[in-house]
Amino acid sequence: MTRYLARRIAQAVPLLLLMTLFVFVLLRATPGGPLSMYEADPTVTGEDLARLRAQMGLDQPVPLQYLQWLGAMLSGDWGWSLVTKRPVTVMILERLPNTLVLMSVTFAVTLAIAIPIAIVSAVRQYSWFDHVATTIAFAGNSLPTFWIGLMLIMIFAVGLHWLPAGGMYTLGEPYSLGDRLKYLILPVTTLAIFDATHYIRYLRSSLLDVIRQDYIRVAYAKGLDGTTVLRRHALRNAAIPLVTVIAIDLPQLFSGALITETIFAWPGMGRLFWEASGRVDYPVLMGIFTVASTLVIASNLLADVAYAWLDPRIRYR
Amino acid sequence: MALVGMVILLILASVSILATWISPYSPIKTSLVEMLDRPSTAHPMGTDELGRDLFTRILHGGRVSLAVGFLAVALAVSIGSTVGAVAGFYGGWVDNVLMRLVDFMIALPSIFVLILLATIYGTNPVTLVLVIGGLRWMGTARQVRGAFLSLREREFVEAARCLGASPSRIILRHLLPNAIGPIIVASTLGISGAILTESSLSYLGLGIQPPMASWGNMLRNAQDQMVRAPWTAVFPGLMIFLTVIAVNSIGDGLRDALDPRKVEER
Repeated sequence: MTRYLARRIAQAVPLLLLMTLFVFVLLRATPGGPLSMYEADPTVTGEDLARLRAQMGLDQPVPLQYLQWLGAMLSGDWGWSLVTKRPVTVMILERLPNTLVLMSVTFAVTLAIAIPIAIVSAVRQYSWFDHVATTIAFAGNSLPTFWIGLMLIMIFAVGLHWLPAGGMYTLGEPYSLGDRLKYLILPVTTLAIFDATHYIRYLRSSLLDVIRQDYIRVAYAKGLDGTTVLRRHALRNAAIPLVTVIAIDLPQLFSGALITETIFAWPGMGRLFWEASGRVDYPVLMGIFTVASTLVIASNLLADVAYAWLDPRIRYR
Repeated sequence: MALVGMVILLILASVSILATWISPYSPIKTSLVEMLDRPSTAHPMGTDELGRDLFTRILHGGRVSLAVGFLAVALAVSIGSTVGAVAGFYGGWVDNVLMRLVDFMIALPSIFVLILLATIYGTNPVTLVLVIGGLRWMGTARQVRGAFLSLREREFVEAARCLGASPSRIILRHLLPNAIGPIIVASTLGISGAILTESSLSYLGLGIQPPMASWGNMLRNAQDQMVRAPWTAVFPGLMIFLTVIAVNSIGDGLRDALDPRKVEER
């Protein structure tokens, strides 16, 4: 297990470096480059521009710039925002927890909805419950996230005034868990509808595959009751492909989170990225991208570990 | 189900293509006296904040959304099949390099890359097709590679090789036709993903730019009018939903029809 893990980590590091290099080059290739903001300013002369370019190291070859960026990054210097003139690390650390809260609550809610529904649906295949569940899952999977969000705002915030339309907490009120939860309901629902329908479809079909296997019949034949067979034999095996899907989906989770943060004015990293892209704020974009890539790769690693834990064949290979 | 989806999609596609002849209104020309009118006989879906007929804009928006979706997938499937075919056929280091590229592309948080590319290369339908297609080909590549890996060991491929067929002939005439099932299924389901991506980008303001209509950017405008004119937010979303569910049911039907493992389930 340790060797397996060590090998996976050894593969993850170059991948992360490649990803940051890719985006670094992409950003440098932008017409106008990082100085486009100053170029548009008539009070900034050509001389100033040249000085700024030298100051920011932009007159050097791109590979060298990347190495310098990497060195600074590793020593904790992530640069300063071109717009707010604040350290990128501070800006990201302000937003990252909010995104993580949104994503982890959504993830928990999604699994809490999807797993029981998928199990009942698969065990009672072709029952009325199964038909209703698969139809809803199919429809839900075809809904655009941002439209779910808009409709929820329209119904529950604008129409019924039950829940706030956006933000993270009531301004000017002391911290309370209830208040925070109230602001979480709509964004989490928006994301969970899409994700849950996806997982229901997946887990149901993978359970159906497993239930037909011979070892399930053997388990029944030796006298185990339905719950034990399901818990010990069927679910464990059906979970393996689901873990892969969840890991592969994680980048998609980001995309959902980014759009949802934008709709609900949730002060998270995705929204920060979106704002920074509109203002071409390079250091911020680069910083967020690095954090997001690290999270994606880390969760892929985690999935590998879970995978090996669930399936001993992988561990001992 | 698949047939119903097919009919819906055909209707949507034809009314979008015939938009100019179906609706008497212009999708761009504004009318100050008809701002945010409720749905009526003159305007079956009402009007938007600039007095434009919503139904007309939906038809014209459908053109853009469907065209971008289909073309992006066409591009993605071409790249994916080529990469998968080459990797699966040649194996060895070629396979290794190409599959690491696929791993890399899959691990990229694509929404961030999409936003960057849309910001850098501007936003017109053509670049949108290139960007979306360029980021969605990895699934097809993996599938084609997998199919090729098992197919290339089969006797008929060996026979073709003995007869002196060139690699390109074996790939195009013998292997690809046998792997076409999963490609078709993946590309159909890919269309709905591409349409959703286009509408999300346009909703974020990074896709199709106004005054050109797309279902996504119509929803972006609708967000500000939602209180006074809910219809501006309901109809474009319903159209996306209808299109995506139609495409998905076609895709599911095709998968059931083309995947031999699924037969026993029915």
